[in-house]
Amino acid sequence: MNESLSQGADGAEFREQFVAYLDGELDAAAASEIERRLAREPQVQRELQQLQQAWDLLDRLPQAELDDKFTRSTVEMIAVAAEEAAERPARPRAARWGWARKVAALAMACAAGFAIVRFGWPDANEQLLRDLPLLENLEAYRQTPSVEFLWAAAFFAEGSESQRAVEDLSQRKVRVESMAPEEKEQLWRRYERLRVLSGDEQARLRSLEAQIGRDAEAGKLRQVVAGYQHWLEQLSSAERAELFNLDSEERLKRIARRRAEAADRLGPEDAKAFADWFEASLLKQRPALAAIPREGLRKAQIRQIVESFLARSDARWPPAPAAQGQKRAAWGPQDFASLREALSDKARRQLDKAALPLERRTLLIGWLRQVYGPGAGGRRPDLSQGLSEERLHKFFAEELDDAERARLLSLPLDQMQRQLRQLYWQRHGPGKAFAAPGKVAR
Amino acid sequence: MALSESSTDNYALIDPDVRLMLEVRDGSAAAFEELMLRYQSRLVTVLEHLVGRRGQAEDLAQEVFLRVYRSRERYTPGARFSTWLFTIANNVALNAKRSRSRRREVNVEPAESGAFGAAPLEQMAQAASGQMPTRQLDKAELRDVVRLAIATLSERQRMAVLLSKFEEMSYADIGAAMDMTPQAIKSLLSRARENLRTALEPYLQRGDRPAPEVP
Repeated sequence: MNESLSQGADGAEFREQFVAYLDGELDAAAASEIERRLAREPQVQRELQQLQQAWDLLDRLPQAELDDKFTRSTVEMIAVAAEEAAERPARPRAARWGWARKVAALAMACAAGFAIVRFGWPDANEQLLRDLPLLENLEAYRQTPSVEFLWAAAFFAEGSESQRAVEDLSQRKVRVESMAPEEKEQLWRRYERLRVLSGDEQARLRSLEAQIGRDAEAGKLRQVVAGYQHWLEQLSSAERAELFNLDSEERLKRIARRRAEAADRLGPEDAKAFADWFEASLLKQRPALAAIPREGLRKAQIRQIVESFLARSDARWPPAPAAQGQKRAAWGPQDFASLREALSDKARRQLDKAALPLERRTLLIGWLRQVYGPGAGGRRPDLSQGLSEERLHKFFAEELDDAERARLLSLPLDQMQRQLRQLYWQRHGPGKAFAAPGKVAR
Repeated sequence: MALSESSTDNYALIDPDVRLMLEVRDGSAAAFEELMLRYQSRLVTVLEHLVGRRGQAEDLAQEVFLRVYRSRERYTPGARFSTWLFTIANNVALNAKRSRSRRREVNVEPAESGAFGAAPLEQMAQAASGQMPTRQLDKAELRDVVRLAIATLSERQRMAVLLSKFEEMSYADIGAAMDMTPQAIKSLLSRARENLRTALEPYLQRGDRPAPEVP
């Protein structure tokens, strides 16, 4: 066995520092000290390699994948607990616990409802048909306080398909019956979500839908609603929830900002090119980083530098703090020339357009945030973990548009799966790793 | 702990799951279901490697969610949601261990020298060296070796390792979840990683990697 660092002159204290370095817990000065020792002491390098290898082996441990059954049984168990609590007279607030029963009912009704929609058509489903235009854009209606709001968000009509002519109930019935099973199930889930809303909110949504129907420009408004719905579906549940909590004015501002950010976002290939360029430039600036023997560690250190840079409100480009005793080096035109070459035409145009230093800095920091910031992968090393095939399949079927699906299907299988996972994590982010797309309507 | 309104707002701003939990507090069933979907697999993963049994891990995870549900009306954000959830998970797991001890059940969980009992590290090393054939280990064998290595850690070390590895929590967050200082977590993880390195050393020295799986 190799002599451990803790057994040598360094003792436990150095080992703690060393492990903290591996965990990305040291500040820049302490990390530089470790890096200096790494660069000149082979034993320290060996130690680092072994600790990291042992840590990497933990990736072999299986990770649980739970399905809806677990969720349902947990919710049912909680519903029973709620019921028991509600029966206790000494608990005056227990009446509020009824919502847990609603969730349990919802979970069970989803399974039953699918069978009803698929195999039969009892009169009870007439309300579902009446609510069909509302259900098909439920998220957008939930996030629309008034018709005026829709006019203020009229840009959503661009690129949105013109909406079908008004249907009567029998036409709606024919259309629903011809839906694919997945579409029926989704419709039923939305119906159940509508039914668990408060009576006032249900009435508001139905009234809004009727108001749109009566408007002289109903067709245009429905296009706005459909475009809005499509846009909302691209957001994560948490982002939708955040939007929902804003008042009309703030919500419109947030929508405008989000759309502007999306226009500036790099595609997957440009994001990779940008990350490669950034890391290569950083290594040129910080030779100590280049001396770190393992690529994974080097990247972790780079990520740490970038994360602390992005966390600062006065972030100035370039992010790399100068090594001690050295002047902070600016990144010159030649650096940007190599970036320019690596980018697609679209991203290159964005870079060229941001000609002024401030504009360019804002653009580059935005890209940096996209590539390294929250939602871009965080410290999670293997983005394939915790993502079931079933969830990926749902994501592919429900959240991608036709063009994205066609592009993925044209790729070799392994490449397609890799890119699909990347897309999933780009939209759902590490903090949202286990969210089921479209699971929540708010 | 009393929290200022601004710190509550801060957590709500930076952590979308805190915002979901605030919706749960305000009576949203959908938000609760969403949180469960987000965390159930992660929670069971950590608990399974902590207690060593999948079935028990699922039972404990349900207990954790029940506690979240019961606490919802008193909920005030004082940390990231995941930190709060794993604080509950840590307490639930410790309680379960105490109950098991009271029932004098045979405990399959080995523990390192220290807080929880005698160390099977030597046993582990023997087992490992006994399993050191000239061939490469396949995936399942290597997984078992890693499980065994994890099992050699004390419960506290194991919890800290699992939160660091699978939840990628900072020392401060792990400390909050386990009611320890960040400095204590630093020492704990340092010892844990050294123990893991020792337990897995035969495989590291040989540069063993799992053989590719034959379909």
